[in-house]
Amino acid sequence: MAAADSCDGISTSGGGWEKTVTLVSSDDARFEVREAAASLSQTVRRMIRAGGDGGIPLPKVDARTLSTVLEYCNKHAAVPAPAPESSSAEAAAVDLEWFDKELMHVDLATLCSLIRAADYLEVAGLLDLTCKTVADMIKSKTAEEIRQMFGIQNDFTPEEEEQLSRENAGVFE
Amino acid sequence: MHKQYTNAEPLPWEANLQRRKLEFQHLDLPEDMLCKILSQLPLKEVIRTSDLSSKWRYVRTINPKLRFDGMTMCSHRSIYGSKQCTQEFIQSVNAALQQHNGMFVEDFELKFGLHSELVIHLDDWVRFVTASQTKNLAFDLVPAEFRGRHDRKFDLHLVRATTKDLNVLSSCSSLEWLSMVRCHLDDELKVDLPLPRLKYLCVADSMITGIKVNAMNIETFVYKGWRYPIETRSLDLKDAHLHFFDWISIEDTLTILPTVLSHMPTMLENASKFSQLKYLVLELTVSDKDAGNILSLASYLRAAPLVEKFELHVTLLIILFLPQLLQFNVVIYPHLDLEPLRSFPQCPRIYLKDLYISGFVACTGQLEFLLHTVENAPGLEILTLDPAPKFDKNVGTEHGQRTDLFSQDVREISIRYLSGRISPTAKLCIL
Repeated sequence: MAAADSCDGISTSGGGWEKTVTLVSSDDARFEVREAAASLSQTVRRMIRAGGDGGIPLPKVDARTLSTVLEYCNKHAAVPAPAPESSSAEAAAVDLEWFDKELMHVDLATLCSLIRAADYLEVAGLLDLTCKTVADMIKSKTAEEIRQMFGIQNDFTPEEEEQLSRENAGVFE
Repeated sequence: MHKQYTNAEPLPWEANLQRRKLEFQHLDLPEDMLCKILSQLPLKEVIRTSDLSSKWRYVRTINPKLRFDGMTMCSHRSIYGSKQCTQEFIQSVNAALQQHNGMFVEDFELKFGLHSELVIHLDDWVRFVTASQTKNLAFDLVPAEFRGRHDRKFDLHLVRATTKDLNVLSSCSSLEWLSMVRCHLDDELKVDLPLPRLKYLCVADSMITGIKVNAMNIETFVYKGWRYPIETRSLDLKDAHLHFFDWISIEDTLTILPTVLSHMPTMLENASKFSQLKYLVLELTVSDKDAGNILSLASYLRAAPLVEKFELHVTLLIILFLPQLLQFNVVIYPHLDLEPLRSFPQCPRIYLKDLYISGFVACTGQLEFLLHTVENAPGLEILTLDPAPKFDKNVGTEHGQRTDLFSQDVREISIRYLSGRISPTAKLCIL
């Protein structure tokens, strides 16, 4: 019953009837999403269970970010349980990987809001994906390059810097 | 300095790049999310991030995940597995652990080929792990020369596994010992790649539909369960213990061992097919109609002339096809002297030293088997005849208490028939 309250409509997709839920972004945009996709977010899933009228409010996510998150959820929820060893499952995995790569083709500000959103909405797959994207940007760059890329202020005093280099000396170099 | 470029008028195709650079200004995330990002990085990179700023330095020390992977941590100067690399690895781990001393560490992963130098440090590392209340711990100390897994022993007891899970066995080429007890696969136990080192295989009380492993060198095979196709391809079987739940005709039995060693032709051909087999235990449930046919089991010994110890446990059941299948244990009566005993033609000498037959009531079939065997086994040292069936010691009590008279009868018949046939040095033991 709880699910029915927040369940605003029913749509067809892939020939079957599917429940949908409405999510409301911080700037009051409404998104109608399949429940299966929305449930990739643990936060939303809990709210669906708790019930409520007029859609699920997500005050920490703006419409632009939410639409990207939902793009991710829709794609990933559409994937049926993988049947290993079948070539179609492999193709689906490749397709998904490609989709993820494309989705991460964004600027840093967007990436940051996606990380925050994924964290708040508890979409584990997206959080991993976004963090991994940032991690990949850090990989094999010098400290100065990373500072420039991320706009980080070097706030160490020369003494501290000296100490740091001593601590890390000999390790991995 | 990069500033020089930004001051210059950007070329048209650079304009876009410039704008992107501006957008890339600031990685504005709370510390716990920075932690999450660091957890995706190899330790080498994580350590470097502490040079960025005091915030990153702090994040790095609260990063609750520690991952040490020797493969990625070794510097370009040292080869993975070399002494220098090992030294570097130990140093790095120790340095990192020192910085996390007394802190909570959520995950601890360590991956490095086990090296004698590592051993003294392992204790310290394990102590660290316990002190830091690590939730997830993984030590992977597979030596570099082993590609894939090197588990030697795999013991599954009451494990709910699927055939897919057991695929992992395919990568265990150094597996030597595999036991599956009460693991209900409801499928075939199948390992595609050869397991050349497997010496011991036990499958007991497990719901499976077949066994298909390619293990040429199995020495001991223990099977307890319903009769399903079994294929091990072993050439070296020394010890076989087969206990089949389903009642089967003796004739079927003769085809079982050949399927256990599937590449062998049927054992009724006279060659010595199981030339290595030293110890054979056979537990069978057969219909009472087959009781007279037990002699056929002598084929086992013909095909395995080097068997030194043979245990035969036959449970005889009456099977009635009434509306439902009913099974009763039966009392089979000792052989009456009215009918002659059958015999196989003289077979090549067998090297049997120890023969044990349970449920021995000196019925015609048993007697035929016994006499045939002792006649062909001049080296027999111990013969044990146990009137009680191996299982169900109460058998027969309802249909007629096994009386002293009965036992005496069995004893008398056995001794009478054995005298002159059994090797004089053999020790006869009738329980």
